Amino acid sequence: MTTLAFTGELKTYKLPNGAKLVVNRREDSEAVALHVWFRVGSIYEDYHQKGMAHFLEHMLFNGSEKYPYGHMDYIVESLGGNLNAGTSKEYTFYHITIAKPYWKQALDVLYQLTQKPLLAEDMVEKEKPIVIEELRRGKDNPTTILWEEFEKLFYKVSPYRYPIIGYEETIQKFTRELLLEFYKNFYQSRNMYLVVVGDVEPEEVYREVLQTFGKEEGKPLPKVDIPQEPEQLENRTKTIRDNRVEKTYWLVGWKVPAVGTKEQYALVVLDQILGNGRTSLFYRELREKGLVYSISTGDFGRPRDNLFFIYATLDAEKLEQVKGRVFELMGSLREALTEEEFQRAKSRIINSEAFNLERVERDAYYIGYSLTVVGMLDYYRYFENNIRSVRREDVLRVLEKYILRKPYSEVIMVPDR
Amino acid sequence: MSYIILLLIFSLSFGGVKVQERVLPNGVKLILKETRGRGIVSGVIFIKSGTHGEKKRGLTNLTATLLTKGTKSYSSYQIASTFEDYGGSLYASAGDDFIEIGFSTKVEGLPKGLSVIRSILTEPLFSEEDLQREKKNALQTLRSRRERGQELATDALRKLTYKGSNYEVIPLGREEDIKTIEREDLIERWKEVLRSENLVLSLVGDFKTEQVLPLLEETFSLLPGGRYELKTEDVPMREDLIERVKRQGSQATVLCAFDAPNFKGEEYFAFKVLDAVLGDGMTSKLFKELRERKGYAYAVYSTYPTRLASPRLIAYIGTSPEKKEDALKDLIEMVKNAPIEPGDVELAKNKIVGDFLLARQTRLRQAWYLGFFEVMGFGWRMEGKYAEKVNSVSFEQVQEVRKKYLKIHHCVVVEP
Repeated sequence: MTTLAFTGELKTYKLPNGAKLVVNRREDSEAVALHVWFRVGSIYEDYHQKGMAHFLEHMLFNGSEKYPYGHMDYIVESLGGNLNAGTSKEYTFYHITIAKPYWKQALDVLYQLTQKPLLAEDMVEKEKPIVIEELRRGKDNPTTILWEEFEKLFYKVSPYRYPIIGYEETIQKFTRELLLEFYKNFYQSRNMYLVVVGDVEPEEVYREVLQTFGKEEGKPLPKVDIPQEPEQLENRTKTIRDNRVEKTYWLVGWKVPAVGTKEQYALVVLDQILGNGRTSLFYRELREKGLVYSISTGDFGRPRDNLFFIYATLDAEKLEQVKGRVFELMGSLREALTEEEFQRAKSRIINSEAFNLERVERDAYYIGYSLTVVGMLDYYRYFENNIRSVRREDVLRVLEKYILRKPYSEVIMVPDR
Repeated sequence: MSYIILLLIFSLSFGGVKVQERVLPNGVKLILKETRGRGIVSGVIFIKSGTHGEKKRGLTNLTATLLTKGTKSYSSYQIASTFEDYGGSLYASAGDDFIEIGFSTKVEGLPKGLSVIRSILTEPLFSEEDLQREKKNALQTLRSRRERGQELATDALRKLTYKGSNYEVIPLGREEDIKTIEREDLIERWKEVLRSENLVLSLVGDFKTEQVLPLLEETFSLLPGGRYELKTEDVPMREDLIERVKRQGSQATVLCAFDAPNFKGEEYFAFKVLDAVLGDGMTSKLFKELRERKGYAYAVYSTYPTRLASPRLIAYIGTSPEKKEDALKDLIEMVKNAPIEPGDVELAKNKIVGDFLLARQTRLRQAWYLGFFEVMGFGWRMEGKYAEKVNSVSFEQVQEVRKKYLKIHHCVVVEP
């Protein structure tokens, strides 16, 4: 995220069919990043569709009207570019990073890929074992299980409790018809955000986009009811024993304000103070004192039912001591946090933006995230100002209001011997 | 068509970029590249050494780890905050062939950053307390490698294919050795490898060379002179070997090593292209055949890591236990015998050059490449010649290196 001072020219366009386009012209790079984002992810699925948003993302690579199966990868790789995609709980995005002269070819590939896929029946069957291998590859890693179990414990009502990849049983039942229905609902103009970052002329990008993505018709979006997570009333603890792990994992979290709200900026600063980098409080007081092997904090940046977590690896016998110390450090932050240390934490966040944005694809990601998930470009535009305006008191208040005075959910994974 | 494309990428990305070299009287090599941007800078110090010649396995890694934990003049927190306050960071790590200290900061923070780096190099504390804690951490990290099939397979494959050389053990070390490491060992190891002729600094950022040179001279001029000699030896591959390792899990991991050419010489680039044909990206042979056609895996690829000795091509596939024997057989078959056509070679060349150029978007990565090429013996100018070198590889050369090298395999199968 960044400020206007850093970016060259941020141009926003709304296409007649409802799609939105943002172009960030940057003269400091020979690479261009092109992103297409859709506001759809696993929380938009119904119970029988678990894993469909992700499966569909795979299917889009299996041929389009203009480019048969395999040709899109070929075009991009033969131009020295990277083509990839990602599915989250809230969004799905497709992206290419490529040398400047080829951005138009890349745009055409993304248009065909996302707007003209064939979704052929035989390709659905071809893709199933691949996605199931992806699922098993995930399950082979104990930390995947840890995070999945954590969200399952934390969310009792919200669809955030289901894994993005779905289940073998649901994946096996996907058909072309089911995928097509899901596709038609979500992969359309009114649900789409295009982002181009690099040394490109914004008006020219707009004209190209009009001739490709602009030709599609916008339709009303289906209303998806995403149930809100009710307030948690007491602490929840789940212990998992796994004979593959050699150390103990502790993951604990609280429900916190949504991304882009005033209070969440204070939370970003709190995260920096507690668990970000080697200057952070937890690193100094726990990692460097030999109590944990690692410790970090973060928030999921969710637009609803957001979550703040502390994640540590340690020896099982130190768990109670570490927990005690973590709460003690947070509980005494009001006394311990000097104004100087607080200001430095803010500078660290603000200064790190220049490094984050060195890569055009990172810049495009922040813009895409702001538009699609946060729902406003201002999140990207004024991030720095918003961090700057956080006061020490704001940080202490979110800590007390959402963490110290609220119940938590925790998962502990221990070696099973 | 692809030839023209390559040339275009090439001229765009290298046009007008000025890299300067300075060799200090004591032999330290400085490589500087000016960029224009938001006033940020990144650098990497390479010290040619790695795990070569370490008597206790894991000693170099612990030495590198402790460098950032405190010096006679700065505490661990002060070291970190010098870089983090400007939004950057500092790391130190040990690889097989070199120690690496990388950093990022704002240009205005560079003088302070360099004085901290000087202190790290010349007066590290290596405190007993830090050592005991980091030893425990290293032991735990080592044991935790069992948690992931791929890490376990990597360790087993190293033992199998690099037997008798320092590469046999990962830089993290060996449990029985780590336990015996003492403070004196660290002090001695650091004295042994910190030699001016082994040290390369590459710095890329929005600075003026004439402004930073005096600072760099001040930082690096006083380092101990001379050279730490590395004794590298090639471990030849003599026969096909397959080892099986038990681990519970939902997938089996197959990891194979194949013989490959040394980086010194023209064969290196032809083999790089061959590796990309076989296992880089969605158009590669392994991806198309083993993932897309056979449905064995989500992830399958090959790599050709650049090492001072015992070069290998490494191929990976993660698959369900019931498919593992077919996957193993087909992986070996594809690497050795998949048909390759001239078009595959052209495509692979573009992939390599494209990836190389896109990876260089950050100053840290640019500094890394410059220093890496220098410390490994290519010379830093390879950074500017790399695309051209790759581009000049012919279809025939790729066929030749394949015939010459991809004959023997060493494989590890981690299976439930």
